[in-house]
Amino acid sequence: MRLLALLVTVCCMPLSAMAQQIVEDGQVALSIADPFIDLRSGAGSGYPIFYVIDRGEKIVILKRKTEWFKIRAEDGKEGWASKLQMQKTLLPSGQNLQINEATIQSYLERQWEIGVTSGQFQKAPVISLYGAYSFTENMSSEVTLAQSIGNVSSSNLVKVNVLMFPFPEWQYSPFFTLGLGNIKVKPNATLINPADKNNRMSQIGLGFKTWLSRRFILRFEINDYVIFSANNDKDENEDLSEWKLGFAIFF
Amino acid sequence: METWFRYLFLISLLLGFSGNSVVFAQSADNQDDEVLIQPDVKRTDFDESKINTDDFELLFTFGFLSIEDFGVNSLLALKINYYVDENIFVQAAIGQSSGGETSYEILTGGAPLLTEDERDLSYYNINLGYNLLPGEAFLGDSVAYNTALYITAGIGNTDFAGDERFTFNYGVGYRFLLSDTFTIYSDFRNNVFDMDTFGREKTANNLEFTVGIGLIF
Repeated sequence: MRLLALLVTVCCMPLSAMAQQIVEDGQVALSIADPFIDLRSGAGSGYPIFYVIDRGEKIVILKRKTEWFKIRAEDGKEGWASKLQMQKTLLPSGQNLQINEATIQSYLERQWEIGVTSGQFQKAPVISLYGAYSFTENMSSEVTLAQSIGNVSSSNLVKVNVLMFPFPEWQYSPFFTLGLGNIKVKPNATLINPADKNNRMSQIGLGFKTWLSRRFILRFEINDYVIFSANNDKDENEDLSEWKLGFAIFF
Repeated sequence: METWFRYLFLISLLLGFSGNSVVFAQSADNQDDEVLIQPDVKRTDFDESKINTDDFELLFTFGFLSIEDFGVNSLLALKINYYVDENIFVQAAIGQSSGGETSYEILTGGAPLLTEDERDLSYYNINLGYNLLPGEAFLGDSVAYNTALYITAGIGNTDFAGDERFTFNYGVGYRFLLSDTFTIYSDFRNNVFDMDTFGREKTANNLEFTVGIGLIF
């Protein structure tokens, strides 16, 4: 009896000790509930499976890269497992591991947003970067930096906008926007008398945003600008139009 | 009975592994169906936000940029990648180079076509990348590294010869993952923009070759 007890303890020791070793501070050991889980050498389905962890074994999550999780098995083997397989592992409480992804709800409740758009400003290509803050589902404010590069001149724009979303819950949610800013037009160096022009401008526009997936937003807009360029030599302000399409990430 | 436990307990002490003593008591417990130590189980909550997410990568690259008519010059570029999923990534980059002398300037020895300031070239671009061929590379018979052959395309702006030039670029590159944190890159691109510096407008193809290191965070 004594011998048996000793034998049992000695045999159990290495495994159990290891099971405890894999869990460090703040980590939670998950157990495999599927018949097995695949370990890949890299974070992608193109990388080969080099190891398989059986049902009942414990693992810990080390890090995440896109939809892949780097995990460590009881015997110290480390590799990458897919989100799909990770969702089938069990927490110590016996529940399935919940991996919270951004949903349509988190899209509606987003506060910060940063994006890049591109299109045409008059006849010249334009690239712009914007940051937005949402006050409510229906209203947000933006700061945009844009650069338009044309054949005879290039322009830099800075503007501040207010956006109104009358139907935020629509899949393609329309918006109306008003903005004020500054435009600096730099004629090309090959022109005879190049001199930079700096003018105030106002902008009115409409467009739509739609939630693509996870933290991504697609956005399209059409804007009309009035450049306050009227002065002693020139009677009229300039009227310019623009369209842009782009992507944004929200937080 | 008690001596029995004491005996086991002493052995576990001798082994000097505190983690093991718990295991020990548990296995003894199974044997006799008697509670020796009240389990003090703390509820461990899983907090997803504690998982370290590595979706960004900062790249320091250097190499060569061939500016059409202005020779080949060194190029420094800083890039940041954001991995949307295992295959797709978004990249923003800035780069700095400068143009040399044209053949005309060298042969005639006449007045330079551009000022020194105008010869400086800087660009920025926003690109979309796709890991076309992920795989492994083997060094000897025991070491394997993850690699990926990727393609990129994007738009941006090049400031050269006193003007801003709308630029589109496309290219192919090779990423070599030294570890989960460090990568090595080689990247080949073509930057295409229109140039009218010599009076007649033409499309310039500016080939770029860089190597670099990346830091995943």
